[in-house]
Amino acid sequence: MLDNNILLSNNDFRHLFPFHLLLDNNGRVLSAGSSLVKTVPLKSGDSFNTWFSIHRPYITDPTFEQIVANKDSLFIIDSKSTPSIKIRGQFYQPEGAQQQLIFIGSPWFDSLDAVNEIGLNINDFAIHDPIIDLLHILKTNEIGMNDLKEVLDRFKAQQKKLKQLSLIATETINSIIVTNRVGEIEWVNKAFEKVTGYHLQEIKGKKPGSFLQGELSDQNTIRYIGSQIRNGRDFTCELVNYTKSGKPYWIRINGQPLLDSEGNIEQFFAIEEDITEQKEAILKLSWSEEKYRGIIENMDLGLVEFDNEDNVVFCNNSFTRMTGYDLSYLTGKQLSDVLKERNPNFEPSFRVKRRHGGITDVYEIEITDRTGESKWLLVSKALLYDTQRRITGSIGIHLEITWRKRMELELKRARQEAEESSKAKENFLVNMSHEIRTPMNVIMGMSRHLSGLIKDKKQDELLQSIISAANNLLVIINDVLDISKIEAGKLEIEKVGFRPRKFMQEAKNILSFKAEEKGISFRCELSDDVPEILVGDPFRLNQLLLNLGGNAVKFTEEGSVDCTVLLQRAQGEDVQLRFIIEDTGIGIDQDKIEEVFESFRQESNSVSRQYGGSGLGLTISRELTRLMGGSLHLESQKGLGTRVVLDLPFKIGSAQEIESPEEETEKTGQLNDVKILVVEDNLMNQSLAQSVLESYGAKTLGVSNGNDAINQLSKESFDLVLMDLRMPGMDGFETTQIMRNRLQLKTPVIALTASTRSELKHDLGKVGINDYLLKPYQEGSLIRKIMNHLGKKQLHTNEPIAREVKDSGKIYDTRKLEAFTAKNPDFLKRMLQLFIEEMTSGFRDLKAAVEQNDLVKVGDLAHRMKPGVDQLMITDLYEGVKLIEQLGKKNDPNGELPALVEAMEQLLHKAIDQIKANEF
Amino acid sequence: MYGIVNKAVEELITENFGAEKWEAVRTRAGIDVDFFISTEPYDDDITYKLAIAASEELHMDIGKVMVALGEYWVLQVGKKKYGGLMEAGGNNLRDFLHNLPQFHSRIMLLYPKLTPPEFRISDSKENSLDVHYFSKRQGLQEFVRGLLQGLSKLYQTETTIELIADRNSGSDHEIFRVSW
Repeated sequence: MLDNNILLSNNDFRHLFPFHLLLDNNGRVLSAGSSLVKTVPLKSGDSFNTWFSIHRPYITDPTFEQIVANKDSLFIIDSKSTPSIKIRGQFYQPEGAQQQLIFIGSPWFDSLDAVNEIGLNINDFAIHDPIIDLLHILKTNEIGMNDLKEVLDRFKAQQKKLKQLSLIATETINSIIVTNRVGEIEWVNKAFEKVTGYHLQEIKGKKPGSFLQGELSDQNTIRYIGSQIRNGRDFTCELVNYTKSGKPYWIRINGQPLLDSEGNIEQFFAIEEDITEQKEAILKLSWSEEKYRGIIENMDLGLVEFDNEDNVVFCNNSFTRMTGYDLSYLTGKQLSDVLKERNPNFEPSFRVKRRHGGITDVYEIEITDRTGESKWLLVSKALLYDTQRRITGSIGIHLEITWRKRMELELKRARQEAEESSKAKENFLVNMSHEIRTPMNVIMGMSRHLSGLIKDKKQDELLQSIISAANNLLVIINDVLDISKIEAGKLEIEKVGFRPRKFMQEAKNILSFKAEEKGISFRCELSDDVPEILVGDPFRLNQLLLNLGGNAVKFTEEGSVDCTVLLQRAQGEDVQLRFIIEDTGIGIDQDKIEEVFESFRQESNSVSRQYGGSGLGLTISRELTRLMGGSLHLESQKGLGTRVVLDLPFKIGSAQEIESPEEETEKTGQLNDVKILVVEDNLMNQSLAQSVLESYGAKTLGVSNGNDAINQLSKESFDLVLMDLRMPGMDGFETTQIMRNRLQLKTPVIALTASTRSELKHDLGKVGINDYLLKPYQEGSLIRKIMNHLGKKQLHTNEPIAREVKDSGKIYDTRKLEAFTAKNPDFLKRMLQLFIEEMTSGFRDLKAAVEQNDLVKVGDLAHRMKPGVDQLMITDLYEGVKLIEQLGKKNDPNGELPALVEAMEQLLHKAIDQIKANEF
Repeated sequence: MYGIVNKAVEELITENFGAEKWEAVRTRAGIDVDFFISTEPYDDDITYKLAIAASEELHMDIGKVMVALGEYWVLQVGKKKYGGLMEAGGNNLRDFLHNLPQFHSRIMLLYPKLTPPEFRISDSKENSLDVHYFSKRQGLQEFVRGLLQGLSKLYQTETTIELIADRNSGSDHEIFRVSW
């Protein structure tokens, strides 16, 4: 026991207990600590109760005695001056001073701020006083609590976030797998369960690879995943997995390790995205690309792709095959430049239009390939666009059409040849028609003429044979020419008005005469309901009837030939007539019926020999029927006869459609004040034309050649020009051309021509000739045309039909001439005189030209003589002069001219003699 | 060091440079602690690493970082968190500095896991005194300088702080002469 006296001075006491209070037994302050006085400004002698109240123990009116009684209690006293100050301590009655009470204590604070607020600091407390430290601890705890709160708050926030993430992980459509560090499943989300069909319970603890992978799962990828997991690395890859039902599907996996705070792998976390659709789409696209790549490479079309500057960026093998240029050569180049390498003249015809809407060009080009071979290509160009519709380039598709082009050219050439051939054929037909008929006419004409001169009966019989043979030959020749025309497509079917009864009568007359000669009966009946006037081709109808009827008569030795015409059908203005020709002739074997329609075929050689003929009649009849839109049937029985049924369509006509003779009317000056230039080298024709025109009141001027015509036209104006086409020197074509081009005249020009060329109209139109008249022309036709072109009203003219009817014995006929001379006898005489003079001098010149072998002149002279001869209708002389003209053109290959000229001159003399005798 | 120090580093960086910068510093320092509990002790190494990382991340001299931390400690941590503890240490800078040794002795009991430095005051004159800093730790004298600067600002006293002795120069402790 340590029991020594502690010697403590007042100062020591005050230093050790800076908050002490010494009171007397009256409760008055005897002494107070300096720190207490700092907080409570009491003075010595102040009453305790003035400055303090006792909070604990509970003493309502503290006295000295009461305090002493509680001296072993913990006292908490409040400062009355500063209520926030509480002092904790104890009262003690010192042993040596029973009349005193000493309070030892220290203020109680709940914070360090409170210390500062009352102006105290650490130095105001005794070093042994732990109050500041306690406050420090309090504060530290508070700080600690605040940190905990903060941690809790953060934790809550993280919890919330985790919950959200968990929800996302759970609800995301992507599969999420969490495994432990060795890859065994700890958790999977709903999406995984849905996609795979596996529930967490059944796969927990298993490794994904043990049940998710299968045949199509790539082993290299599986090994890669395993390696990454073992090495604690993250991984991304694509893999085929299998559902519980065994269905494969593609996934993209992103896996990564989850590390603990020390960086050790705790778990693995993988997100699996189902990319099956994407993969399928890629695969489809890949197949599609492959397919189109295949198509592009294998198609027989050359494909070239260009950029926006028209440089080649791609070409396929087909293009290389076509051109010899491969992609490596072409890349980056302009195709046109490359194609020019072998052919500097190559002109690219394409221009890709780069405006909105871009245009596809299709065209043909001829190129020279790399080997130098010429080729044709059909090119189709189109623009290329990206997804934003911006032009990114263009493509050209090339099809080699060399063979087609060659075929085209070949066809063109063939067509040209065919056209030329057809033209030649037409010319041939036209020429041959004249070439053959003319000599035939001469033969027949001469024969008939000779028949009139021969007295000897035997000689006359022989001559009749010649005439008969010539007639037959003419028929055959006509048939041959007709079939040639039909085959050449040059035979045209007319559509004119005609009276069927009249034509039937004419045919009946001819056929009944032939039948009578053979002693067989011939009947021809026309049904009453056949219309009065029809529109069709009466001439071809006549030919058909004569062909078919003629055959019937020809092949019937006894019995009859009956011809019946019925109205088969009538509908509106369309009618169909049926012509039935029945005979009791030799008939045709059934199996030979079709053969007889073939060209040049008759039933048998014996028929040919017996009956003759060209074998073309039925062929021509069938073709004519076809061209006329009808049908022809033949029924026959050998030995009993034949029945031919001909159906032909017509339209019902009217009187206006008949070319009937016109009434005679007075000439009333319809061409008054009309000035006409007549350009005609034949003076007679020129005079005739002028006479006609003047009779209608026109003023005329005649010139004989083109130059004179141009001179006149330069000096004075005319209302119309009649232009002979064929003139020596400048012909009618050239004259008209000069009129139009140099003189700039629009005066109507009507050509006078004997030409029947099919291109005549075209040729006339080319030079500006407005119309034409075929020689010999009718007065009425001439005047009508002139009136037409002058815009005047049509009129009737007095124009009797110029029929070729000869007076008996006279080889000439003046009716045509009379028509032009308006029956003026003086004028007629003058014209006849002119004829005699012109023809006499003409033949003189002709003979001289023949002697000089100037065959061109021969042709020209003969041409000029034709119209005059025609005016007097001296047929034989006309044909002869025409023949002279033809021979002149053809250089008289057989030397016939001299004899022919001689013969024609003789004929002319005869005609002149007759004229002189009859007309003067 | 107690968490309160590391928190001071965190708050100093976060307040001045943002939370991302703090994360960068933390990552650079390789410190995995998400939250420093103020009253929990942490390895001193953490504080050093944070300070170095901060200096690297902020492109500041480590000494400057330490000074900034010391000032921040007094003016923010001491004032905000301990609310008046600094003021309780003295009515003026001089008194506080004189109480500094006692203060650190007190906190030794309060923070049993802390090895606080020891301070002594000498050569106390009317306008200056010497603050002796004794610590087993190396490299914190600039932190002490920061504390002294912070206290100067707290007591609104313009001072000059001069390191008149340090361990690098052969002394066994640092002596700061604080003049006002």
